[in-house]
Amino acid sequence: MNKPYMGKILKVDLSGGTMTEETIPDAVYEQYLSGMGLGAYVLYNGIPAGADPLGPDNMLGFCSGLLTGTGSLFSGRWTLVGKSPLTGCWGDANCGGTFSPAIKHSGYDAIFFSGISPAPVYLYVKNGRAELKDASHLWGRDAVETEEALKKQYGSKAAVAVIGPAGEKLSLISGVCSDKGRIAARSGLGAVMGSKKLKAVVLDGVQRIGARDPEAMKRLSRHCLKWVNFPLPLPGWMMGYVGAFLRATPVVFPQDGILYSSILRKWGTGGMNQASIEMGDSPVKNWDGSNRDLPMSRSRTINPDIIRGTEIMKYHCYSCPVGCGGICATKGKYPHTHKPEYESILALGGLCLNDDLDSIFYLNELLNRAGMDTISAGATAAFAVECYERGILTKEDTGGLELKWGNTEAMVALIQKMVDREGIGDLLADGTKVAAQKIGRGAEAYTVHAGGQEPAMHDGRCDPGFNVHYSLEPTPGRHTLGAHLYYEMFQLWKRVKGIPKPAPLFTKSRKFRVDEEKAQMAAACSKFMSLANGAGMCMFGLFIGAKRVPTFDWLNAATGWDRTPEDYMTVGERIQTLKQAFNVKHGVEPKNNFISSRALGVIPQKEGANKGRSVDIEKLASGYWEQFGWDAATGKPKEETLRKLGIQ
Amino acid sequence: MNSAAVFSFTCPVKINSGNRALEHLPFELAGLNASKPLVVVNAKAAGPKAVRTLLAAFGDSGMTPGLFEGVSEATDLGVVDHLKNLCLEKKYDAFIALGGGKAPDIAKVLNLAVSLKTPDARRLSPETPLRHRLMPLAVVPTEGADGLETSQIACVGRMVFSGERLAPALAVLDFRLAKGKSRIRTAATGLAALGRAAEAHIQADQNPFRKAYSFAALRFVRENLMDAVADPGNPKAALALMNAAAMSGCAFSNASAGRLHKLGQVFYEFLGIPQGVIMGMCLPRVLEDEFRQSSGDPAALLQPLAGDEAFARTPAEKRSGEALSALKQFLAALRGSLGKELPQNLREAGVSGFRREEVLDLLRKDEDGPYLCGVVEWMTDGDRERKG
Amino acid sequence: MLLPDYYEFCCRVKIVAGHDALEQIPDLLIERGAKKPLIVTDKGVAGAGLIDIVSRALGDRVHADLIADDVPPDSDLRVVNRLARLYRDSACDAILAVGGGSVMDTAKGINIVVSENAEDLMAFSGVGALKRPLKPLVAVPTTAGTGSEVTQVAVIKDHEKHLKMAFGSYFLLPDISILDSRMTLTMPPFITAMTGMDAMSHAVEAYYCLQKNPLSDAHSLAAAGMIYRYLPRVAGNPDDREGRLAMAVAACLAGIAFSNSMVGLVHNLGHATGSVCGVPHGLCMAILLPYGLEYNLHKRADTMGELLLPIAGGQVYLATPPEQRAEKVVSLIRGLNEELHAITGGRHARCLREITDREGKPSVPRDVLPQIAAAALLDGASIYNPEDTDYEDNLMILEAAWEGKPLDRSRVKKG
Repeated sequence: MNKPYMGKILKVDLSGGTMTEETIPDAVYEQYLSGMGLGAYVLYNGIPAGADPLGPDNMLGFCSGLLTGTGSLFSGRWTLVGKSPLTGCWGDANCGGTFSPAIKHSGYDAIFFSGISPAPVYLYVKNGRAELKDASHLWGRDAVETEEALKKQYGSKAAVAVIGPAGEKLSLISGVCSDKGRIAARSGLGAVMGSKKLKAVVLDGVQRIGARDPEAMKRLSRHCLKWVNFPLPLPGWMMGYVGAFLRATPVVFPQDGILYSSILRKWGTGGMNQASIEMGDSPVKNWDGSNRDLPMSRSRTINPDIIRGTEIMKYHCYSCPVGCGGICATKGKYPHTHKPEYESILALGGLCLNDDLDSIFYLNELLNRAGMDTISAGATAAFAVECYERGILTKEDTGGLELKWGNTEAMVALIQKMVDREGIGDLLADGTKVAAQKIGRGAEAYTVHAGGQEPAMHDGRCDPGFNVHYSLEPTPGRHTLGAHLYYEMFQLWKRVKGIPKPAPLFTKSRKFRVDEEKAQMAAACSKFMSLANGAGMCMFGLFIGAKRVPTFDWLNAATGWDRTPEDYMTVGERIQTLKQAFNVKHGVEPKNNFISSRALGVIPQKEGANKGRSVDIEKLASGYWEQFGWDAATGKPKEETLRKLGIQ
Repeated sequence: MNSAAVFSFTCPVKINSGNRALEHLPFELAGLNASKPLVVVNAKAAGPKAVRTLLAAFGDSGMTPGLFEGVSEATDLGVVDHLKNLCLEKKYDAFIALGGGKAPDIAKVLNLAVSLKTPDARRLSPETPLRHRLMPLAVVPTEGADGLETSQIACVGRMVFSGERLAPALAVLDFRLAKGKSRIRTAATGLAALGRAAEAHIQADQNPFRKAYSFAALRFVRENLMDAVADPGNPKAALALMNAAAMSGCAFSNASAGRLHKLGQVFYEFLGIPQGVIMGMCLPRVLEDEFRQSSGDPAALLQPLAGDEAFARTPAEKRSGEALSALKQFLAALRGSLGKELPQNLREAGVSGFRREEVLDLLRKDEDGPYLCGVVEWMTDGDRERKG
Repeated sequence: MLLPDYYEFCCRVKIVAGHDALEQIPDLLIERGAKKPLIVTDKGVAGAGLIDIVSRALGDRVHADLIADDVPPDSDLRVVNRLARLYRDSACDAILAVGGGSVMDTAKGINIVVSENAEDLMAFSGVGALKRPLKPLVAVPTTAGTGSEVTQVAVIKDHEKHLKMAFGSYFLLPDISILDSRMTLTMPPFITAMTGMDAMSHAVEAYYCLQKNPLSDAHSLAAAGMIYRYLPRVAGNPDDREGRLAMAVAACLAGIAFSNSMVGLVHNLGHATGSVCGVPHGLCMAILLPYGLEYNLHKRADTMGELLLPIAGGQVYLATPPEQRAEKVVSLIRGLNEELHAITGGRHARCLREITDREGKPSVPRDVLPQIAAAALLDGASIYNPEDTDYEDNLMILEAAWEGKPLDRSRVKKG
């Protein structure tokens, strides 16, 4: 015993209402860890090729991390996996809160659902005893209400993951919520849960989570903790100027993530709001505008200090000493909301050219309750506004809404319609790609997506690394896997041999040069984050640096293995390749997932921070694929690669 | 006296008003068998001077009040629970709410939690039975009071607690704290008092006890609001307004919640707009409708609002109309004095469409829903003068 | 409306009024955790059948069988102690007082004894000696006048030691006052008249005396108007239930007003006349009220003039020039006394000389007036009077009141 994983998964067939417990051999954990790795292992074999993502053959997995609950820090993330209805590819979504340990406390490393229930149900697992219960009284209720109702019934210690009305209505940009507003939002997996008529998963268990060497875990964590309390010397109003400086300076130095984690501690992810706009990291006006469209005088309203002023209390995910979350007071019907994340603020703010903070709070709560992805919803709204401005959508189409840039009221009304799937909202509720297909009339030109998924609020024209990962990851459009900036902050070269160390000072243009170093960096990020997602680690924690946050050592201490960082990077590589193999099995052409040309700067911008920049994704792609031993032309894993990694 | 049904009146609030009224507070509390009060205040809103003045009043009384300065608009039952534990541990036996807005709300609910020794204050709800006597609570309003300080309702976390026992035992109105700085906040205090007092005054059921309070409140507003708005630092006028607000709260506690109150309350709770601002917007419209539907007795407003002479001069059948025009004149003069500072409609008050929808959603659930929603729609419009 | 430099106002009594207000008592008691009230009353009240009405109204949800109906007209410490023992022995948990001033005083005294577990009531006399809430006390007044259902004072006499103990505390305020028209329906016209005028004197004196404040003013104005309108009506037509309720409410309003603003000359002289000659309090008030107004008129003309509107209505108010309004109020109150005199067949005296005892002998002979004037100097009420008074002033007023002639205002020393 004393393994950090439970060694078991629960499989629920909703069509027949049957449940089976399956023991997973140790070898699987050794090869894939738990979390996303285990999910990829089960789904690769479990979902038949070409399965309809919203059909009974698709599987949906709730996976905790290998390190969750072992005494390590930053290890409270769980991963939701399934075949994405939004992209048709491998789909995953990541979420913090308290649900990840709850999965393990129930006695499982992961819970998988297949089939379709004839009537709405929810799964209730009490100490390893699972049952499906009628959820018809919960169907139609919003995510927070549902969670409150279930917690009233089962006690506040129960962990709950639910879909809101967006998932029920099969919106392809819906996610799964927990902790009244944390949401595993990406890849449209809420619709998968909705298609299965599964309203919620309620877990209430006390199973112990072990670790092979608890003393070592404790020692490592204590050591790591001292890097967290790094004070930030900057006041909030300065952040915009920091961004402006980073925009103006021709040379840059590798950034140390320890600064970033103090920003997170002070303000949360929203700490970078203004800086991001200023330096060109955050796309503006549906990726067509720049910092010039949203100067500091306008973006002042989303200054992190203002948001912090509304914070009632800090919110920490399980085992996290940073606590970037918060509960904020808001105007309106609900007294408080989860502090909106950077992505939400900028997707609903800058991307739509909206500087009304109250509307962002409102939409944040609205979308959290509906269970809809704020990134995709904001991006889709921005797309709709541009279509309207360009005459592709008319007032008749929009049901009377004047979708002009900066018309907050109309934008809010539009997103409300999307949540309700009403009028034009029905057309937009499946994201930009589907909407553009339905609208026609050349609307496709104004979408920005990778393989169907809207990318996050980090512009690949500012940091080309983002474009690499948006376009080339098995989960297209995801931003939490790698970037040039992330590579600098991970500081992997300090632990892993054979990967490049950034120069102490370099010109910005060097970031845009396509060379082997870039490919190595991107591949290292992908491997490392795949590993981290298998371990249940939080990317923000990892930003503190690989030498300070001892991921590899925690893994060794928890499992009793004796592996080198390079060995672990191979595990990440295996997970990554398996996901790509999953895509190939389902007929995905990796090349089709390249992000839209607007985000690549095929026609470079004429002004602003990213003026004149473009990214050659074709070249970057072959370099990246080669790093994994995938075909440089098609991106499909080669036979020998699969064999080498032991993937059948 | 044609009261068919039984009516009742109760006002547990003792009012101490005027010069050095605060210095009476330790004595009053001692008279209520309290020895260790806790001051609950939103220090940002009330200002450090008010806190200093209040604490200085305890001088050599032998009583050393505790101080919690951290009330904010966002304070919820979680904070109340934390404070409750503190009070039980430190054995506070009375509460003083300094300032208007959230501080009295929090103090009332805190008093409830401490007096009932509720294990978890977060579980308190308006349904929590209120059978025990609570500890003494004193309210000390400052600029920005809205009259709800002295009432028996408290709003925390979008929940409305209500009960005779929640009302404070004391209201201390002191010149030094009454003086304000902001014309708009002073106007809001007056308008909130005007709104709630008018509503209590015209209600159809006869209740001379309530009317005594609403009458005095209305008189004070009429006689002092303009002076106070012209110079918020005028202590006499400011204190008179504060008296009006305190009395309106007492009258309100004994009336059924009227339309003006409901509107003022929901916009304040949802959007933080001072209650008086909203009430000022819709006062004439709501009263006019009451007149038209003859659901109340607007004629009763004439004497307090227009004075004895005008009241005596007007024949009974014309009093309602005269009362309304007196009210409109009064509001027009106030607007003239405040100009753009006083929002005339929801747009000017910065209410966005989606927040208005939330307000409407809530109001729809009210028994008077359709009417209230109609008023909100009407208030939204930028140029309602034209539309009439 | 005048805002005094400093004022206090307090009336923590829950007032329940209506034609069937008594029926609310069980609910109100249960709400306060009480189920077994001790009913305190006097023989007169019980004899008039009022207790039967109360008992019926109480129904069977609370015990209503413990009735002490032997409270003397003058409160007595021995009675207080005896009834307190009864309360304890019977494990009561509330007091229900049905009656007039002495019943209320006795009930308040009992409440101090049982709540504080007092052996010696003396320890709690004075102002502010009580520190915490007492047992629930429900007051059901049977006269519309004294206002003692809303006052925070009680006077208990120790007849053995010839002591008069006064108690003052907000905790002495009854928890609840029930104003029910049935409780005063059987009151005979002349008692109706004088208790009503007692209430009128509360309302009017509260309005012009020194501690007046905006809230006492509002109560006074409402009370004065109602009394002027309804008193002749109920005195002439005792079965007028609406009028009876209105008078009960008005008397209560007046009681709240005067207990928060204090009273002056009229009460000062009235108390003295009462204690020297043993004549009914209300009658003295009725006779002296116009003189109190006249004596203070030069200082309070505007204030007194404001009373004209509620009393006489808009037309009279407008028809009277502002400078004559105060005098008009005086003459209207004199007129009210005349009217009551006529209605009661002369039993409502218009001047001190008309007051007679049961045998028809004058109760206030002219030669006791100096004694009364001197006794009045010992009473504290005069300090709240707007104009100062001394022995000669008192005598001058008393003489005019004895004769029934208006006061010669040129003789008032204006200070």
